Amino acid sequence: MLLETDGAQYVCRGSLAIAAILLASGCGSRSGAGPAIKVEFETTPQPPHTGPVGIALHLTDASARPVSGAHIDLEGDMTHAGMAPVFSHAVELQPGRYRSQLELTMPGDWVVLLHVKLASGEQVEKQFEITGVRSQ
Amino acid sequence: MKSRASVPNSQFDLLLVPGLGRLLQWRHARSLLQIPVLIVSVAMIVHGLFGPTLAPKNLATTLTWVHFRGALVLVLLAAGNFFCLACPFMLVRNAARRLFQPRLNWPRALRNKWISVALFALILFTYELFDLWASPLWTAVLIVAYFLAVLVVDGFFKHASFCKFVCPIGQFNFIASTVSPLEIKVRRQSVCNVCATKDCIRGRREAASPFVVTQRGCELALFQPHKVGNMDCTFCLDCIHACPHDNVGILSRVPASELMTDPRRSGIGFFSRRKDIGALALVFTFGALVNAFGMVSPVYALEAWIGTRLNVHSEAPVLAVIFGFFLLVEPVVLLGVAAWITRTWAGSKRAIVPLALRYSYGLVPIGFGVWLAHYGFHFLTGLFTFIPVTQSALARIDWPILGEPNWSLTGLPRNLAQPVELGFLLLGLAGSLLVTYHLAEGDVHERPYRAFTPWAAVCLILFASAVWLMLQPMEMRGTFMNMGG
Repeated sequence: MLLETDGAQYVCRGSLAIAAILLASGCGSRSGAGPAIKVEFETTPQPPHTGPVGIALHLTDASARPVSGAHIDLEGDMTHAGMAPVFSHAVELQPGRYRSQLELTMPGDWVVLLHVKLASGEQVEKQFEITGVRSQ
Repeated sequence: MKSRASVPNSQFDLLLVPGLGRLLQWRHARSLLQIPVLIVSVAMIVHGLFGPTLAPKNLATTLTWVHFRGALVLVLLAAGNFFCLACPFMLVRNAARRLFQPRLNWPRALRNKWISVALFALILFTYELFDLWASPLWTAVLIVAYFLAVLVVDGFFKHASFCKFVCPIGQFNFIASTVSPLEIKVRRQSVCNVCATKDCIRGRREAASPFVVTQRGCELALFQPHKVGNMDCTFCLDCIHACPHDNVGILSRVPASELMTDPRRSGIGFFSRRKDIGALALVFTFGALVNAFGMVSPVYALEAWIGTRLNVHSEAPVLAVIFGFFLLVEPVVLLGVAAWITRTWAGSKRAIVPLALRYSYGLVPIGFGVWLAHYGFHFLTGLFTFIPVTQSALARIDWPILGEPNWSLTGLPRNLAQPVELGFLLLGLAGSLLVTYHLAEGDVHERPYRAFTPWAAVCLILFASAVWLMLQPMEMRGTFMNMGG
């Protein structure tokens, strides 16, 4: 019989315990459903290229009424980890219609995260993609 | 009580560094390094499977594709194969072997690198095909698959069969560590000459029960007195712990010097006769370029063009053409022409294939330079991104001890990282030119410059290709077929 003497058994048990804790906590969090908000977006120019990209947002509720008075922060991420994200804030031009601008620093596929805080104080997270951004 | 063999004055020995040396000589040193890596690996798997689906927000993708790869090549450059030392897969394997003892020897016909070379190429291929860099789920699945593969292979087969014959990351580390400045080797050959026990390879057993191994010897069949270089060495420290004379150290050497000579190597044989290791060197070198090519804008135009020519709408056949060209056609043409010129113009006595095989090792430094430039770039520009991702992961489990995620933390600006990239490429070029010149001197004594010239040209072509890649706009997407031309 070969005997290992490095305490690997204890490590294995410990790791399984950590995994169980993480699994349990990971599965149990963020289960609440937010308010039903529909977000439509439009980017300019088309096709999108690096540099400033205009983003028009149209927020409506479940009854298709415009959602007014929301505070919207935008975050643009590349699909590859390790790239600098870009941030912006949207301003409301008309009820439910917001406009923002993101400075896209690289060509490729971007994912835009919307961190929306409604006038009621509720928070909503939405995301959409801007694919095929080209070099300017 | 061990008595330490003295170290030649000209060599630095990491084991003699106060504190660190004593730590590494501690028999649980490897476990101490493996435990945190295993914990991080488990966290990556869990976050990859159940965490955010966006790669920059997930530990699996961030740590794997930004930090692990970058730290790996930088440690290989600055020291040696310390990532195999800290390999968490081996910790799990050792735990499993407490329950199941392998009974089989690895099949003789498979005692080579062909499987691992194929897996290495396959991982590069699947990385592009499935956009692994953008998928936390598939990255986590890959890590889990790795753990399972280790358990299956080393569950059935004795010794370190997975490390030596299967592990693609291990092969990457082995071939890259041929240019590392540190090597595990004997301090004094004279001590080994009178050693009767050969514990460094046999291991040590209990006196009362010879079937009970108290300290493993080298599981990769590297007999220290005849070991040359870092090929196949996982830096597991077993030989250091097993040697009763304390005659094994972690010694300094001239980086890449082992590529310039061709002695018989314990557990390996002659480099010049190992086509499988030569193939590994080529996949390592040319794979570095194709892997970098996958992240710049021109690749999408090329993919679209090939897709149109082949009239296909899936990425796999298009990528197969690109990989076939870069990993088969290009090396065969470049090395074939260079070998033919070396034979006809410089008068080398070797045939074309042995010539190409011998000089293929000279390309390892420039290949390593390309890996360094690529992975080093991601590492430096994304250096701090693990902080907000970790903050976010902890906040997600309602344990925000590190505070709110600060997503503006990234790393070096790209314009500062680019000179570093160029420096790595130049370092690789210098290394390859040096090695190929030494090989040319050994090959054709009378006219080394003639033998050197075609190989220097190959090195310069690879260098120029890498610089061109570095200057291209970086672009990452997984939707080339839908991009509308």
